[in-house]
Amino acid sequence: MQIEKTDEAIKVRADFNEGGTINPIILKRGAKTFRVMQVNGRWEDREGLYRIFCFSLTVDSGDVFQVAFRPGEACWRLTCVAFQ
Amino acid sequence: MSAGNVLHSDIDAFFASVEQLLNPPLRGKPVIVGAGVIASCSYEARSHGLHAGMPIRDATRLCPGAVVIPGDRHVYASHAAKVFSALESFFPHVETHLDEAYCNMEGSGVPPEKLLEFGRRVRAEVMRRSGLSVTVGIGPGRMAAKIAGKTVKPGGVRAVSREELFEMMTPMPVGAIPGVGFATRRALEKFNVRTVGELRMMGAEALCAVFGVRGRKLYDLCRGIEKSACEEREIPGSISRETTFHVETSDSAEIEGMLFYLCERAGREARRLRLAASAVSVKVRFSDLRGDEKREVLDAPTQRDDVIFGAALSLLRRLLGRRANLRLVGVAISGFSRDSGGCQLDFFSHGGEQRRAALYRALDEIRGRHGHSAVVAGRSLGLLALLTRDCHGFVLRTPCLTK
Repeated sequence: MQIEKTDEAIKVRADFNEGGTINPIILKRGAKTFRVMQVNGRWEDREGLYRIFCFSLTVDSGDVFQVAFRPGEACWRLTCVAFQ
Repeated sequence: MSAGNVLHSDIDAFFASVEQLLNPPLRGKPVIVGAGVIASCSYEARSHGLHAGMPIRDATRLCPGAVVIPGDRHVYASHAAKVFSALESFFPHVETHLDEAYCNMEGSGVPPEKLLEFGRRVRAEVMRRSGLSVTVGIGPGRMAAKIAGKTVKPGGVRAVSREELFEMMTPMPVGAIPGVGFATRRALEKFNVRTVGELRMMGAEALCAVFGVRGRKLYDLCRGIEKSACEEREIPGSISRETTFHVETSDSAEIEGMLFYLCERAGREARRLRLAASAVSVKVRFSDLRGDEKREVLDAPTQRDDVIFGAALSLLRRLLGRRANLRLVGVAISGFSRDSGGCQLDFFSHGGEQRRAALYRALDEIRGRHGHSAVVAGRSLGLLALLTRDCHGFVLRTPCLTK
């Protein structure tokens, strides 16, 4: 297994439920599209007062992606990839 | 037995368990978390003889298949918060530490015969809400609960009464008693005392003669008698910050910039806890792995970064007498007293202390709002070219996973 820390913009299609939960469905990294098979975990980080929503996702290739959503900027970042 | 009982919950192989939770292919594999030395390792890794504190170089030799992960403190803190929030749904008073919590069961109304069942229910709820396995111990005090849990690690539940605890502790080594570390163990060995049962044979007067006021506490603890309530937060012995350099260095600007950054982090933590430190110590390790440490007592307790740094810098200059590159630098502040908001004024000063204190309060507020990286002190500007930053500050080579 190879684990790679990164910090790059990534396109994410996600469900924002009324209860406040966010469920990522599809990730697009460069030209490649990945379907989210499982949300392994979700947690919150902070940048000062601002909340950052972090997710660990298993995608259809079997790799595990960690992504972070900053509501203030409405942007998603890919923070870590674990290749199988 | 339920009146005055304490429930102790400890997350099993905390950092490694979080990594296995977030990365399912790691489950069932030996996982090491840490940089330089093991901070935590999974039970699969422990079966190969690995343990916390072991150098990772030795660990990978013993267990070549192990996956090494540097770890991220903020991810772990967030998962610990989930565990603590699950515990708070059962108990009004939860005293939380890094990966363990003491819960006051007073008033919970759980009858003695149902304690085990209650512990299982708590464990299941924590597992449901956080995905993490915890070991639960229940007993008539903090020590009793912790010792009960230790006997059923990982993932077990155990409740003990005072009588059971007394029996259980008899053959245990004295190190099983909280607060008995290397120095106390060595002092007791001189009297041929190695187990709790042997310690009980020493009278209170003898223990007080050897250990002073701590002797009385030891006398009670080895009999399972405790007085500390579980919601009491004790003043920490010290607050320390240290790191290894990416490249060993003798550049004084880089070393002093890093020292200032570490002093800022320690000072900010002291202000957060409303503590004032009366001593500063600096630790260094050179490229040949030889290390040294010096300590200085301050004129008056402080929580100001500039005072801490002033003392630390003079200590550092005394330590850097060798012609060798520096591998590690660290600072620790200790001798805490509660900060009452006032400060010792200098007869000849013109209000500079208050202005400085206000400056640090303002800096803390800015950093609390925008992240620690929002302000970089002039002395640490050189680090900008050497280290990357995230919202929590500089990304150090060996970031501490617990602070």
